[in-house]
Amino acid sequence: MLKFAVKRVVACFFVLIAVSFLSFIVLSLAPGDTAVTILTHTFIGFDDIIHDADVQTVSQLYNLDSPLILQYWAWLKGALLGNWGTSYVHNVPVWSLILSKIPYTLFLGLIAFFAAFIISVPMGLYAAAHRNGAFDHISRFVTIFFGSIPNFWLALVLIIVFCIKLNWLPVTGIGSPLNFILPGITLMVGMIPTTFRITRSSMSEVMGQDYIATAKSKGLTPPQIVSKHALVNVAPSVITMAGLEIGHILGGSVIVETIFVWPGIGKLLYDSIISKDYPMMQGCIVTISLGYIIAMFLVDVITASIDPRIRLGGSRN
Amino acid sequence: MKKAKVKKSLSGIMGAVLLLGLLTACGSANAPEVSTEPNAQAMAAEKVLHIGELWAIDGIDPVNQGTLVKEKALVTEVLCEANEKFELIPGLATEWTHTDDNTWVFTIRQGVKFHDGTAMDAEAVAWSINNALAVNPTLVTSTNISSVSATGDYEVTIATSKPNAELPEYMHLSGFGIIAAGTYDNSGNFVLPIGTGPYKVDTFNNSTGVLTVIKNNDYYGTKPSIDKVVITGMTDPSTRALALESGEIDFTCDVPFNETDRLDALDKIRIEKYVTARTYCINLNCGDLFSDKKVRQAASLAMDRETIANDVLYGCGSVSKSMYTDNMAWDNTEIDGAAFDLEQAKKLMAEAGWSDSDGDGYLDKDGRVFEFTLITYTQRPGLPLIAEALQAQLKELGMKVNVTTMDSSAITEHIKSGKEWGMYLSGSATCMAPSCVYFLENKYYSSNISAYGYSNAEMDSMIDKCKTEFDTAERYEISKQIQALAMDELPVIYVCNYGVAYGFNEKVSNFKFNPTAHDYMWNVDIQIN
Repeated sequence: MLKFAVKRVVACFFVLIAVSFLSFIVLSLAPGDTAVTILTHTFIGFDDIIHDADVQTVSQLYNLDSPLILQYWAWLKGALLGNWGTSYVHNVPVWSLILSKIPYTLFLGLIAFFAAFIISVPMGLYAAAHRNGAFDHISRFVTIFFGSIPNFWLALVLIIVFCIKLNWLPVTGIGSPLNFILPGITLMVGMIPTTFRITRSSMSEVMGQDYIATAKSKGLTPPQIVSKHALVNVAPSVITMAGLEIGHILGGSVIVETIFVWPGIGKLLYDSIISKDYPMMQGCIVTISLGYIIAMFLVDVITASIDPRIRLGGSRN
Repeated sequence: MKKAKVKKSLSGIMGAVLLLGLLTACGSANAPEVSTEPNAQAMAAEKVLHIGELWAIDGIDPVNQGTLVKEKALVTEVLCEANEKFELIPGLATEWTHTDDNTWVFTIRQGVKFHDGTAMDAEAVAWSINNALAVNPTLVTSTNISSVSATGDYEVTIATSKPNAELPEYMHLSGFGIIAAGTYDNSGNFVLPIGTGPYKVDTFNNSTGVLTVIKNNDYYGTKPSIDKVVITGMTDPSTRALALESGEIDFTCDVPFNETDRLDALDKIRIEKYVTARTYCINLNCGDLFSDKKVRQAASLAMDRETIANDVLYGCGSVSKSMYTDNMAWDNTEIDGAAFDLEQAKKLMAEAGWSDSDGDGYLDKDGRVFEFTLITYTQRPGLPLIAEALQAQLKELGMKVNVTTMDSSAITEHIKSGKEWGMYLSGSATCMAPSCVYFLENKYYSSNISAYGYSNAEMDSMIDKCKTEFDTAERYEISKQIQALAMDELPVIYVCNYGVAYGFNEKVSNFKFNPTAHDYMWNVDIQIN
């Protein structure tokens, strides 16, 4: 098990390096003069008049004239030594700003995730155990319906109903537990359909296996079949899906964070891309990737501990 | 055995994730939670104004985020202020004069103290200006300042590398807001802006982007009427409108155009619309389809600006007669470039040799259809709407317009690279400084990026002359001549003056519009009940 874990950690490190390199190259190739963007976002208004001399000054100031690969190497050397650079726009160390945003993103995301998990996993299990029943049809319809609602629209409707009409909840801010409710619901509604459908389809597949038929023929009751045979086999799929969702959480949500003025990492990344704040972009992307990698690492370890075929490199079939 | 192991693993991981979430959410020293909810008890004791700011508050550096710190938070002040006609009036400098073409001497106001209690004297002012020049190199380019020194207890001398008749006007730039040395720590790291303004910074949370300022009881001028102002960055216009409607904020700027009438009809909300020193304008590609002046004039005549101002912008803006608005002291009021005459436009196109020879509805000449790309960007919400309206209006003239939106920095690159374009629609600031030539130089001077290839030796010479004319009245006169030439040549067409819609909670009163502000600047005697 330890050997398995060490191999995964080493692989994760190289994945992180590859992600940072790719993101740097791709973002550098995006249209728009980097010096002009930095100039207009940091020193003058974004659509104010530009002087050639200022463009050249900014290029020199931020070392934009050197080859891309050297710029990346300079960033990587600093990052490996714990220096993620200083944001062009915010003029503060990248890491300190990211660190200050992570709790807000993570806390909101985890609340939404656990709420979605508690609702959708039992729903998915029940719907699969009673396939083609009334509950199955209704729950599928409801989840497709909510899954189809764009989150910006849902957020605005929730604000109009609960903040304007009923005046129960605040629109923006972070000071009170009430502030979590609307952004939490908006995020949760987006998570439920995926979790529900994966749980339902995994459970349906398991329920069609020979060992379930054998269990039935032995005379076990449906609750016994589900708890003793089905759940253990559904768990790897649900845990993998949960890992993906948790990894996704650290990426934040630009829409939800913008509408509810939530100080998360998603908006920070979006703004840094728009203003070509390279150190901040790299910092956000590496942090988000790290979140995914840690989540996936945990999924691998958990599923390997549940299913020995995984850690031994064998096949499920 | 296996079941117990699974259970143990699952519960362990779930517990760890929960614990991590809770620990990180509650334990970060870098992210103190700042409530935007007014505390009921505090509200009874003090007057608090909550502002929904339209940009994200990324920082409060008094040089690079000077507009926020000076105009929206009233923390810093500048040497030269401006009145509603954009004429200079004394600020932290009581008077100024030029001793030769390259030297300006400013007399500093006496008896003014910074928020940290230190005196604002010539030494402090010279340090502050030198600091601004070091932090923001674009200020050197725009002013040509070569040295700043204290030449008396209350006298600062500024030398320029080239004659700059408008140096006092540039001292109005918010980046030149005067700050105390205590703004930075001993290692030179920025801490908080310490200015001389009617308000001083109380707290700023870099993570949440919430800035709180409190009144400066030692302010030398009109005493502030509001105790505390909380400014929260809300970049989504709909959120600002909803926060205003719910009573969470008392004042905001730029609510969605199409929401202004609905909000204004509500009892507790008031919408006020004003025109700012910014213009929706179009640079024409004079090196290609618009090389003929008659074609440029025809395009301008085909634009129905009244419809755009009233129906497209919902009244958030007004018809542009030229680049300036008539409240500016140097505006050439004799110019009226807003005529809408489609028949005359068609006639001019015919005179320029363009006709619809194949009857497809679009003009053509020597086998080339009059087709071009109109480029704009989306950061200013009025631009894409105006672009679509212009596409339809110019079609009436027989011009085939393809609208493209891209990032504003990509537009400069697109045009410089020689790719096809016909019109570039932007929302340009006409008075970053209250200068009668700043905008003209940048839009019409041959070597400037923003002139996009337009070149006219006569124009260049007049601009040079204007920049070095030290007599204000004479400088305004030259500016008016440049405006007339520019509107006659028409390399840039002006569509509408940029409007803002301010939203107020009914309890806010006595707001006085400041036309020199870039988004808004509230007055110290604003009232909140």
